[in-house]
Amino acid sequence: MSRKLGRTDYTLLIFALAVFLFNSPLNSWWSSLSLPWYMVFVLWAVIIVLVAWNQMRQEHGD
Amino acid sequence: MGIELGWLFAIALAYLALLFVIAWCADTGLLPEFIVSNPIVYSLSLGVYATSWTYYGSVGLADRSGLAFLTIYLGVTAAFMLGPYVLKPILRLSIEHQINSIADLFAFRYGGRATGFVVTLFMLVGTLPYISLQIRAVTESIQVLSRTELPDLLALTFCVVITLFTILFGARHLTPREKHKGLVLAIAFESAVKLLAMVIAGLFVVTQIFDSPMAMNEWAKAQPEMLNELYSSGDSGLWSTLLLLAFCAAFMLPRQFHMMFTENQKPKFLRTAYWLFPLYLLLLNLPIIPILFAGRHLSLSMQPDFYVLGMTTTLGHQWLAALVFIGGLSAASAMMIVTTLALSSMCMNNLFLPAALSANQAKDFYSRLLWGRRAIIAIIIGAGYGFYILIELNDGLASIGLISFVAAAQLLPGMVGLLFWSRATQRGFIAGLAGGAALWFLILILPLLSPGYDSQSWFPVDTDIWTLSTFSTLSFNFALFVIGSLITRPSDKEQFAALASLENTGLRTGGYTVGRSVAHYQYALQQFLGNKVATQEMQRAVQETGININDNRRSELRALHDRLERNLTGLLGPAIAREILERQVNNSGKTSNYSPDVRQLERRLRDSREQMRGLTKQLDDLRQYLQTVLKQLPLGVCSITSEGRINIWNSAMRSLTDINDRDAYEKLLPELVQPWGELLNEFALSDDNTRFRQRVSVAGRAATINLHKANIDTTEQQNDTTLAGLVILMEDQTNLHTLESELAHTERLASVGRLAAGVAHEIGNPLTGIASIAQNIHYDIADALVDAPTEELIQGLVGEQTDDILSQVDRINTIVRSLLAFSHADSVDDSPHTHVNAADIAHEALRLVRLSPDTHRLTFKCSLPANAMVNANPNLLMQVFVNLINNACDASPDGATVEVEGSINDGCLLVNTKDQGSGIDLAHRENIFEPFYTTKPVGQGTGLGLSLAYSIVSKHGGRLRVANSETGTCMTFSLPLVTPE
Repeated sequence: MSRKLGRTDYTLLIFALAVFLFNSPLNSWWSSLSLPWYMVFVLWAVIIVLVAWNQMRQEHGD
Repeated sequence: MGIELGWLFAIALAYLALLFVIAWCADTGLLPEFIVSNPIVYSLSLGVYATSWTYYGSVGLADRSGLAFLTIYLGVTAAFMLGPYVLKPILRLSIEHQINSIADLFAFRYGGRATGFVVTLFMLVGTLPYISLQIRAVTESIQVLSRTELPDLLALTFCVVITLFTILFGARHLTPREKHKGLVLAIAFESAVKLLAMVIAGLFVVTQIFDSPMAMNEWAKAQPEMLNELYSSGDSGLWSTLLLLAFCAAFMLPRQFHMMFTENQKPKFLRTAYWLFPLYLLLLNLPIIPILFAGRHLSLSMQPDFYVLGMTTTLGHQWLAALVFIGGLSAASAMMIVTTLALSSMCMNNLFLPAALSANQAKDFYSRLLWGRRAIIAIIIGAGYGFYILIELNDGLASIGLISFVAAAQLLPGMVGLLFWSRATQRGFIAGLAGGAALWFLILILPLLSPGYDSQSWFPVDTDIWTLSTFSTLSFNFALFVIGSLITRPSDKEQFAALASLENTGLRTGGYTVGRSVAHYQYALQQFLGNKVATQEMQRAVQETGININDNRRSELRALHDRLERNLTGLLGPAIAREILERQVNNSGKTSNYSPDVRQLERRLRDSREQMRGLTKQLDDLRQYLQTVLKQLPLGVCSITSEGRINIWNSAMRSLTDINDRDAYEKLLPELVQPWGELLNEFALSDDNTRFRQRVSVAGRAATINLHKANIDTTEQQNDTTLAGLVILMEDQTNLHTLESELAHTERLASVGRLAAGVAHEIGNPLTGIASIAQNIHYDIADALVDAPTEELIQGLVGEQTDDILSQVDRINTIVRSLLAFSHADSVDDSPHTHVNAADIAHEALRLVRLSPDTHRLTFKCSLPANAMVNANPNLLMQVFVNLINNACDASPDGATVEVEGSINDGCLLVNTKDQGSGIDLAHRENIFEPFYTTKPVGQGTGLGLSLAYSIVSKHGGRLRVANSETGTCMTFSLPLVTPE
């Protein structure tokens, strides 16, 4: 008997990634790299894109 | 050169008027629905989060704390990332229970007035600094732009204008339950204006002040110390603290709760907001660093908070300065309007209405609500103005905003309990909040009110004030919350609310009181809401629940009670709504141990189905499967609660009884229409677990049913007595009964056929006798006529022989009557049972059988007790004897004896029919009572005889069995004897 698997919810995974990037020792590391001022916005944008992607694929899966 | 004060005031008024026009157009339907109600507008309306602190203060915070200013928005992003686990349950709860504010949410979960009162009071105090911040931002921005000393009354005038607009936006009509589409659109418009102004200012900085993005980056690279300073906050304690504070503020600030949950028009809009709102915040903050760079590049001599205004006026771009000012005004006015509306609703529901209710001043207060709300709006903004006058601001706008953020964070323990911990209690929550609030006041507010007072000196830790205050207040709060919850027990209401919060079932457990009737509720509402509004509320609730106003069943009244409570919660808050209803029904209502409301449970499970996953989903699949089985079972199922009320009535039951499940639901058995009410109630009360072949007449047609019942044993469900009760099964035997009648008739006809030759012979003999006697009479009369006929002579001759004829005719008549009685086709088994002598029936049957010529080769013996009276249908009983004797005859060889003997044993008549045949093989014994099973050659047996005999004996409460005797086969049946009266 075949069984259709539900779509995976990546919400917690993306949240963990965001915590890893913005509130962990990694935070101190990238703070010390003398990155361009906008780099933090790029990271933020990546997280938002991932959240949007996760939401949209879940909506299509409903 | 600055902008004249009068112009700025005119711009502000015109802009606020534009907002009002937008809101009015949306409210009156002048704008199309797809503009007013869409997820983008909803997401933009959440931009009320970005106040003048964000708009102006972020530059100042970036100047002091570097990139830490972004945490205020990254924390919000984190909250929205966890939306499915945090925001969605709250939205669901808000919609399900018509919860309108954060205080009402906690009052719902942590039951009652005290919770609502404490949360409202604390949120009021905690938000006042934030309102004062907006007043300060607007007045200082006007000062920067006009470059003049501001008149003392400017701030007060701004407050009056905002008060008027707030009333126009949200308190023109008393519609707290309805969504303010106009308000949402106006706030979304303000968010768009903020973003537009900020983005244009950013582009201006990059292109006009630095010439190009590359030039700006080059300039920044040439300032390595500044860049290091910018990134230095990344590893500080402040970073994590601000993330946590922003996470809490994202949905626990009154204005955020209001826009996100109270004004949500469609739950699915929240899904879009999960990513669109963080994107909005990102775009809004993108120009902050360039503006900071520009301020430093231009060496502006002003607070960094107002660099964005300073650089535009310094360079003489007044249009841009005006646009930026409008953006700042948007930020401040949106915050003040929404916050004040949210707080006014909280104050009304949790401070003033409870006070009015306690003082018995609540009679017909509905009409006074509107003016009450307006007064509260004015008082809140006035208090914000008072705070603005009172405090000295030395650390920029952000510091005041953070005070409010720390205040909002004090609701975090309660929110964790609400979402994840069912054991949390009201006392624990209030203790935690009171402890956290007291520390918050001592650490953050007291230094503002008493300059020189240093709260940081209490702590032996060298860290920033925000980390210190957040850590200490939340730790204290959490500790009191957990300890307080563990040492107290949650009430029934709290348990219900906890269940509703955690599982979104909303199903009450435990004892429950409902009013006596719909009219009772109407009267209860009239006492508080006045006649007109009470009637409106009742009509609305009755319409939504679809109940009949004359229906006083508890399930219906319970549904009405719940609906009224929800609707009134939207109007008055959960504490007051609950109290109004309970106060009225407690004294005169009906209280009951709450049995599971199967229909309500089904409805809620159906509504919640799309949120189910994993094991819950599988359990619900199983539930649905079992429900379908129960529904489609061709067997009537009716379950009855421990209170004797029906809570399951399946479709087979509906077909059998012609009673709709909706009509049967929650009724007592005697309340069902006849004959079912009496029949089922009598059966439920009896000691019998089974009743066979009950005859009932439904709508003019006769039906035969079997009834079975069983107690619902709940010992395996942890002694949950609310689930105990009774289940009754009803089998429709009408078709089987008809079939059996037809089979019996067929068998009887077959027997008649077999007897036909014997009957002809038996009738032929008397007929020959009659013919001979008639011939004799004829000759005797002829002789008499020749001699001397006298009347006496003829009379003597004929009379004697006529008696012989009558005797012969009587013999024929007896044979024919027996045959007719045996072959009677019209529902012989419907005849009533009577007391019959089994011996008489046996002799009659034997006489019939002996009519057959085939039996002349045999000898018959019949010895039954003469006084063996049984309660039976004589025709059916004769059929049993005929069938058994026939079988014995068929099995017996020539000259054998067929014996029918009886005895009485233990109140039963035992009848043995013995033959002298070869017996029955063991292989056949199991099947001989099945219909159409025969061991006779084809054409010599129907296979129905023993089957029918078995069925008839069973119906009469007896038993038929087979055994081999010494000489052949012995068929034995038993029948209960009639008890002598």
